[in-house]
Amino acid sequence: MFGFLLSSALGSIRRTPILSLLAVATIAVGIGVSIPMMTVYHHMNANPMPEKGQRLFRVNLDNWNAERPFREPNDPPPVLTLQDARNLANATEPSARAGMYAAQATINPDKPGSRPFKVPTRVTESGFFSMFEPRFIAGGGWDVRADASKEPVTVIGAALSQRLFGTTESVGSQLIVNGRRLTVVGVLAPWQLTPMFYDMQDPFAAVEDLFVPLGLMFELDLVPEFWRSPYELPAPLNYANFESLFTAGDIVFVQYWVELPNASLAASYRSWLDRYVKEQKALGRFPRELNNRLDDVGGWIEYSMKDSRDAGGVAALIVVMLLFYAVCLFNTVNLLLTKFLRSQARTCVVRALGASQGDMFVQYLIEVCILALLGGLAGIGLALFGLDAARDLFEHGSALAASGVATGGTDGFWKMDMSMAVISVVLALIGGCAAGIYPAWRACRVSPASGLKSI
Amino acid sequence: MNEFPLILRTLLRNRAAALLTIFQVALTLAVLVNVFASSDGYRAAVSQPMGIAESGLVAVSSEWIDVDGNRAPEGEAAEAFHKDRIQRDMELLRRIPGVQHITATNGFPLSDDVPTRQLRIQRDDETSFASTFFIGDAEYVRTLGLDIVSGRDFSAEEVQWSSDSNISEGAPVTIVSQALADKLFPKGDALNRQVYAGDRLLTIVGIVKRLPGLHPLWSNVEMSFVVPGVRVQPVSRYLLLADRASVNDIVSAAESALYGEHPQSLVTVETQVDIKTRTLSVAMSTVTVLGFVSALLLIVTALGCYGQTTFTVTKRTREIGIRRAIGATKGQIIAYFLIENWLMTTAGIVVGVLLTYVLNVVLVQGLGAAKVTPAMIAPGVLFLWGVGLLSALLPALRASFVPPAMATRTV
Repeated sequence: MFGFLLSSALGSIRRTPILSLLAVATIAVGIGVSIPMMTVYHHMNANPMPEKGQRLFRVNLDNWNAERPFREPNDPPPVLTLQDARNLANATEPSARAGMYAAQATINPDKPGSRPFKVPTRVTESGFFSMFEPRFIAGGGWDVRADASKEPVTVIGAALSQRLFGTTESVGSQLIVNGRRLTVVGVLAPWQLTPMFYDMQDPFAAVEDLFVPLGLMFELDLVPEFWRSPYELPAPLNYANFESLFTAGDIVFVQYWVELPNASLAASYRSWLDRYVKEQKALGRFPRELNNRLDDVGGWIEYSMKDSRDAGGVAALIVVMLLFYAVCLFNTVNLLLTKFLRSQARTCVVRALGASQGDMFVQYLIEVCILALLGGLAGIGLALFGLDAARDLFEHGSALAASGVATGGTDGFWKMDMSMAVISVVLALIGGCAAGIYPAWRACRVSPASGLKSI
Repeated sequence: MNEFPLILRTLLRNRAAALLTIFQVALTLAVLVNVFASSDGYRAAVSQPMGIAESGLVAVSSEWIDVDGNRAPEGEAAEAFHKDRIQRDMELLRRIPGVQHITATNGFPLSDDVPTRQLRIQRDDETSFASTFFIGDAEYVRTLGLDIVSGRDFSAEEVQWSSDSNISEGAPVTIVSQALADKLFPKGDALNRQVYAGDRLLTIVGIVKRLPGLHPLWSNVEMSFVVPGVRVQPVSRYLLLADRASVNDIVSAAESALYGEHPQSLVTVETQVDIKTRTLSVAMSTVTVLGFVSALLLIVTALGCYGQTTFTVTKRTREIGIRRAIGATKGQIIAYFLIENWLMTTAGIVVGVLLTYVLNVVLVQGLGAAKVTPAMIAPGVLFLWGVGLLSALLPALRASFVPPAMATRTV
C-alpha cells in the first residue's frame, strides 16, 4: 500500500510541476535565508576545544574600586594586573600557565624598498603553545627558560613568514619588531578559531600573526589594545610612563590562562586564589568582596557571550529570519491548497475505487514531505550561497583583507557544518509538514460522488 | 460597493484561506517596518552630510619608527626632534599642487580612533558629557570648512606645541560644536562660559555649526570640542583640504612625499570619505542584507496573494459563470476579487501593526533598533495595499474572462 501511495504522490508532483516547483522554492528560500544567520550564531557560541578545554581555565580576580563593579551586576574585570599575573606564577597546581594580551606591532622588513607595516600581535608566554596546541609548520614555541631570560624570540604565522621571507621555513631568520631584532623559533600553520576564545574581546577577531614573549613588552613598547584602570591615572599614558604605570599600579590588561589536569587540583587552585586575594587585601589592595572566577573554556565562552551585543544582534536577526520563514510557509499552504485542488478529480476517482480518506491523507502528506525534503536540500544550497555572499559583504574592505596577512581569518564563521545541514533539513520537514496538514486534510475530505459528477 | 456584505459573508465562510493571507500580510508588515526601523539610523549616518568639507579632505598619518642606525633621540631632545619632523612634513604636504589648507591634528572626524573626554560644568559634577576631543592649530577651522556661528577662531599665539596628549600647558580656550554648546548650556549662552575637561578649565571662545567626532553611529557624534595646539609625538596626523577633483592624486602624492622624506616611517593616507566608509562598513553590510531580505519577503508575499486569489478564482469558476449569466459585468467580477483581496490585506495590516510593536520590543533589546513610530508604519501600510492589489489583479482579470456559459456546464 505504501508503495502505491508513494508512487501516486510522485505522480501527483509530476502532474503539477510548476506548483510543486513553487512550493519547493518557497521552502528553499525560507531555509536559505534563516540558516546563514543561525550558522553564524552557532559558530559564535561554539567551543573550539571541547575536550582539552575542560582542563584549561581563565582566571579573573576582582581588583576593581569599592564604588562600583567593573561591569553590572558584579562582574570582575576580564583581565588582571601585571603584578597579580606575576604573583600567580607561585601557585604549584597548574601544569601550564600563560599571561597574554593583544597589541599592534610594527614590522620593518629588512629589505630595501619595502615599507613598515602593522600586524596584530599576541604578547604571551611559553604556556600559550603547550595549552592551546596550535599546529607548527616549522620549529615550535619558545620554552619557559626563554620566558625567564627575556630571550628576543618570536613565533610567526605562515602568511607573515611568506610575506617577509618568501618561505614558511623561516626558523632562525630575524625580523625587526618595533625597532628590535627578534629571532623566529617557530612558524604556525594557518589557524582558525571561532570564536577566538582565549581573548573574546572581539569573538570575531582572527588569530594573530605574531607572537612575542610577555617579558619583552616594555622593551618593545607594546601597549595593550585593551586596558582599564579602576582609579584615575596620575598622568595620561605615554611612552615615557608606560612601564611605571603598567608594572606597579592597578591597571588591568593581562588575560590569564592555566591548565589544571584534574578536578582536585582545580579545587585546590581555587582555594589558593582565595588565599592569595585575602593576603592582598591585608596589604590594602582588592577593596571589593572576594569575587574570583575560574572558568573552563566552555564556561568562559558562555560567560563572555552573555552580554555580547554581537550575539544579541544575531539572535534578534534570527527572530526576523524565522518570521520570514513563517511567511514562506503561509505561502506554501496557499500553493498546496491550489495544487491539491487541481488534483481533486483524481482523488475522487481513487476514493471511488476504494481508497479511504486516511489513505488519501497519507498520500498527500508523503507528497508534502518529498517537497519539503527537496526544499530543505535546495535551501542548503541557497544558504551556502548566502553565507558566501555575506562573507564577501562583511569582510570586504576590512583591515584583514587589506593587509593580506592573516594566520587565522574568520572564514570559519561563514562555513556550514554537518549539524547545521541536518538542522536545515529538519526545519524544512517540520515547516513543510505543518504547512501541508491543512491542505491535505481539506483535499481528502471531498466526497467521491459529487466530485465525479463534475468531471 | 453594494457587494460589500456579500464579499464579507463569503470570506467568513472561507475563514481558513482568508486567515492564511491575513497572517502572511501581518508578518510581512511587522518584519518590513522593523527592518526599516533597525537600519534607519545607519542609513542616515551614511547619507547625511556631516557639516565638514568631507569630499575635499585628505587624512594623513605618519608614525616615526626607530630602526637600527636611525633612532629618534630619547628624553628632552625627543620633543625638538619630532617638532622639527612635523614642521618638515607639513611643509612637504603644503607644497603638493592642489592642496589649499593643511592642519596638524590628533585624530580624524568619524574614525574609530579619536580620543574622547568627559566635560563638566563644575569640577565635581555628577553629570558629565562625553565628547570627542580634537587638537587643532590656527588653520584647523579653515581646513575642515567649519562654520563659525558665534565667537572667533584660534589665534596663532594660542597654538602650543607639546608632547603632552592633552596640551595641558596651552591656552585654556576651546571651540565647541553647536550640539555640545546646547547640551552644556541649554539657555544658549555658551559663548565665553567655562567648562571642565578633566582638571582643565577651558573658556569657550567659538561655536561651530557642526563638527562630527568619534564614529558616525555613536549617539554623541555631534558633540566635539577643539583645543588649540599641535601634539608632538611619534605619531603625527594632518588633514589637507584640496579641490574635490584632485583628492585622489593628492593621496598618492602625499604618500610618496612623506616616504621620500623618511622611508622607515609608517605613512597612511586616505580620503575623509574612505574613513567614513570604513567605520560604517559593517553597518552598511547589515543594511544591504536586511534590504535584500525585505525585497525577497515582498516577492514571496506578492506570490502568496497571487496564489490565494488564483485559488479562489479556480474554486469558484462555476459561481463566476452563474453571476456573469445573470448579468454581472466583467468590471463587477474584477471589483469583487479586488475588494475581497483588499479586505484580507487590510485585516492583515491591522493585525500586522500590533505585531510590529511586539517585534520591535525584541529588536530594540537585541539590535538596539530604533523605536517604531507611526510615521514608519504608514509607508509600509500603503506599500502592502499596493502590492496586494497588484498581485490580485492578474487572477481577477482572468476571472472576468470566465464565459457565462460556464454556468450551464455542470448543474
